[in-house]
Amino acid sequence: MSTFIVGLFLAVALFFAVRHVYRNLRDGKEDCCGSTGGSCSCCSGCHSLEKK
Amino acid sequence: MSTLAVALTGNPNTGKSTIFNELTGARQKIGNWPGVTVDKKVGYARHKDRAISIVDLPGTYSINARSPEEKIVIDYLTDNKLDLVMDVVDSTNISRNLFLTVQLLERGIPLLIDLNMTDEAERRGIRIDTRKLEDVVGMPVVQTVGRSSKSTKKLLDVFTSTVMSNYEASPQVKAHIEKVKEIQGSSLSESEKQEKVIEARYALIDQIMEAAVDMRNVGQSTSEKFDQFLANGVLALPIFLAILYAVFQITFTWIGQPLADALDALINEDFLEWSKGALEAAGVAEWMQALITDGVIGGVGAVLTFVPLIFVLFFCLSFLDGTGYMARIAFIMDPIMRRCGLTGKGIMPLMMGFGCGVPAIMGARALDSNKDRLISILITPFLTCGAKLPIMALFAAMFFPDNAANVVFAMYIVGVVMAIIVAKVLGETMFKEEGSTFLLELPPYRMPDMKTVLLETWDKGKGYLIKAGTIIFAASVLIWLLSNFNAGGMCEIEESFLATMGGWMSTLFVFHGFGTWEAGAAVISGILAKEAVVSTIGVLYGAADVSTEAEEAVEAAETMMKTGMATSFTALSAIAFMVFSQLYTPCVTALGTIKKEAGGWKWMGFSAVYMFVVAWFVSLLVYQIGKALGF
Amino acid sequence: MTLKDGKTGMILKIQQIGDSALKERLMTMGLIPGTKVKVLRSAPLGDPIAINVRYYNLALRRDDAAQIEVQQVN
Repeated sequence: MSTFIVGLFLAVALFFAVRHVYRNLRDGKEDCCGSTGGSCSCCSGCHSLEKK
Repeated sequence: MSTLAVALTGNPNTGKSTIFNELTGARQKIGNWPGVTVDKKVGYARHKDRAISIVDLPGTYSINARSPEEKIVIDYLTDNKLDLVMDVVDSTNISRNLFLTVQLLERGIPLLIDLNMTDEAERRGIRIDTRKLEDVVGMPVVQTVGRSSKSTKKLLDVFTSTVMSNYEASPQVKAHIEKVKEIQGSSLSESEKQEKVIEARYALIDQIMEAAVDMRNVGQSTSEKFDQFLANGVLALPIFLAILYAVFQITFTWIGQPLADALDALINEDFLEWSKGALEAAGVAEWMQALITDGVIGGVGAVLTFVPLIFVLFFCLSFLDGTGYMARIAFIMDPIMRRCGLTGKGIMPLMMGFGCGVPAIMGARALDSNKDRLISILITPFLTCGAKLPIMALFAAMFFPDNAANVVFAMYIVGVVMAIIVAKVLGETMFKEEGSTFLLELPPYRMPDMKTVLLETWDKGKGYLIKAGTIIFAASVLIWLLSNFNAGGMCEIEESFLATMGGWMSTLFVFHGFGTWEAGAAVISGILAKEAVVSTIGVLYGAADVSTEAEEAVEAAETMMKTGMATSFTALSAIAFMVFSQLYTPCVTALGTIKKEAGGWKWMGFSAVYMFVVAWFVSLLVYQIGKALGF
Repeated sequence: MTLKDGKTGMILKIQQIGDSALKERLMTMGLIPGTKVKVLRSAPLGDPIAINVRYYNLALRRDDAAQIEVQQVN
């Protein structure tokens, strides 16, 4: 019985974990460095200097 | 009453983000501008029963729509009905900052002008008469002191009490707008028009400066004195290396590692013991106990242990960024980077690569030429990202307990040197010479705002926590299942699926000194996410063996020493394994980003294969030479 | 002379900027004919150089500085 409960918890947690990974893949998102990176102020400094 | 919509705009390095963070604190959402990977920061505040929403627009020098950031600023300001647009101006650099102000006024956008860093300007002898400035521009002016929350909180009063429709551009500004119209309507060529307009803008700025700013007593800034050492000639390079070295000492010796050790004791001893006891008391089946303790806690725990290291490192990088030193690094490294076929500005995305390769690869798009971009994308994954750091930290602590920080530092250098060599080779073989330029503001040195540094650290570091709870968790369970089953059901670990797969992989490493199936399995899982190398090692060597003698184990390294890991590696093969992990195929997320940014499967496949090959050869070389030398 | 020939400590007045892809960006950053700039220092190996213009500091490469015609003031 307790094995079943622990297993259920694990399965639910695993479901959410895999769903998160799957959604990241689907939407082309990633977890590293907050949202999208490039938030460092000095970089925005040189980005805006760049020509398109 | 409806929500008051405020937007912040201004040049880079004006303290705009600091003001934003002071005003909104943690009540902010970081999202994405549609279509581009530039952070969109929206924050909320409440003042005198009025809800205020504040958008922090990207810092730009102008709004000519040349970069994605500039386009965002124009589009946002023209498409949205805002109650108030605040233009943050760095008082110490008012002349050039007013360029954006004038450009915004030309577009008929009413502005609240915020003279920021007034304390610093005063110290430097710059006197700005705000009344006269209001008269000559026709727009309201407020003053703030960079990091004082008192002065920024005052802004909320100004936001709620200022009615922008009461203000009208001054005669001087109106005359300027007429002049710009005249130039635009003339028969000059497009570029001549642009130049005439720019000259007209600075002519107006000179008028404004004349009327409201007294620069007669301006002395040398303290930044100048710092730059005599930090950005001057050859001496600047050893200082740069020393600063980097200090960052590593802080991360690996002084602050990060002790915290990591404490956390390790908490997870891998206290919590592990407790959960073992609890599971047993609850009468959970033995295999499920093993899955939870060896699989989940062993795997996720091995990665979580390194969270303090990651946060300390990110804190140091954010702090350095806040001081203005990063721009100096680009300046002093440009001669070297250029000789490697890159540009000094490329150092910034590369420095980000020490955090995570993904934003670093994306950051490469800011570089001028296609060549700069592609080379930068292809070499970035050689660097030691935050996820590779646990691999280095674990092996260094186990096999070189007295020299851990130095060994890790050496691994960082290996990554950098490989990146440079490959850049050079690619530059001279696959891409022909193209000209590039370098134009960069060197902002004054400033004490970074702690709130901003901490928010940035959290924003970057939390991704690591999320990964531990998701992909690493899932991978740990998978690795445990693979290591406990084969086609015939549950089995001994040596006969498992994982042992078979790792065994195939390990045939590649017989001459590298780490031809064990465990190492092979770790290498395979590292392609999912680099942290998984550590979590796999945690599952394979970890808890199962540790449990019998856990009473006296103190540190992760010591715990691991008692397991099979100590006998699987020698000091030399540990180095070879570290070198291989440092250089081989990037994780799937990074590969996906390479595909997006470099434009196609071709580059993604190329980078996956060539990095594996490079890593294989370098690691082999290290092991064989080391052996020949008698280590 | 051009800005490329500037030595540390020299104060120079910009005469004109040669036509190049960089011209508009240089002007946006405040380098307008008539503007005075001061040469501050150079990176290791002498390139790029740092200049002070309109009370802030800007770094640029010597090759690009060669496009900027200047006259010595001090």
